[in-house]
Amino acid sequence: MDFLKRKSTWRVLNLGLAIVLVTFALVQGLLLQLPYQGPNLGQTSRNVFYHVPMWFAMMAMAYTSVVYSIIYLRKGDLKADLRAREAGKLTVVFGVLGLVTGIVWSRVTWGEAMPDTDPAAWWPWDPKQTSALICVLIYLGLFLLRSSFDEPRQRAKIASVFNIFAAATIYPLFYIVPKSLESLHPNTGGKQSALGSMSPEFYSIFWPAVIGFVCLAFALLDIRARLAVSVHNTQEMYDE
Amino acid sequence: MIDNLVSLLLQAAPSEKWLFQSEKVYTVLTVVLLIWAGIAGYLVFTHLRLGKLEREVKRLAQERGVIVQDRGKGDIH
Repeated sequence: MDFLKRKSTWRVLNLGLAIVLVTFALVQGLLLQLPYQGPNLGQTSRNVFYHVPMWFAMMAMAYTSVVYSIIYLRKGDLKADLRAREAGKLTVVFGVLGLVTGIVWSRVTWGEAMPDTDPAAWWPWDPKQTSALICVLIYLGLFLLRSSFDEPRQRAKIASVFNIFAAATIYPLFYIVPKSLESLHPNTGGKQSALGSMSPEFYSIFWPAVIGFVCLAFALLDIRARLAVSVHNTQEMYDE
Repeated sequence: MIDNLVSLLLQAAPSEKWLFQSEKVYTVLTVVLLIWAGIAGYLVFTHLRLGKLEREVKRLAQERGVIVQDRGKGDIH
């Protein structure tokens, strides 16, 4: 069982799982006959297999980033700060993908009756949508903050503290604020969670899609972080 | 010509009907899968190249007598 202790085993397993599950989600998500969800949603209900996992992946990256930031603050290991930075970048990437897929979806459902020229057809200022945008902007702020410091240790320390506050905003912005307001999204205001009312056919694709995209996010993080650490090691080596 | 195209689009049947009509959804799926195969292949390729780079950095560090690992407070020597 020595191979289980090797990092490379877990890397290959994670990457393999990501490829298999995302492929499964793409094929089944487009082809499986699903229960009819009404005239407004129609076939767009399949978007739930791609739009929602973006937010799961975003949150996985945001919480991973804050874990590395805490490691940096405790140990002063610059490599932990590099990993926190890369996880933060992926938080923004998956957040933007979540926003864009949401805009496309809302255009043909909530904004179906509106003309293209009406901005509300594209962005209805729905509380959950707007909270998600604020959250992505907070993470973009992390990179603005990072770019304003030249000294690596000072930058790492300030960014780590900011990252803890950024991660603390996720739960209120995604759950508490939308829950207390009337919104078009499910699981907001008085609405029931979409997860609770899904049929087994939806579940059979939804959870593999979530796991697949989260694994994909971790595979991307692994590659980005290893590259950042290798660059850092090389610079340190030449500075000797 | 644009008028013809617009009238053709307006005549299109509701999405529930045309999505599976003439198996055209398989064309979409093929395109999506080709893009995904490209991305996945690129990921695997990058993963392998990165492994090579890491080994090379380690070898160079050994040649120079530098230990590339953490020592206490995370400084890399």
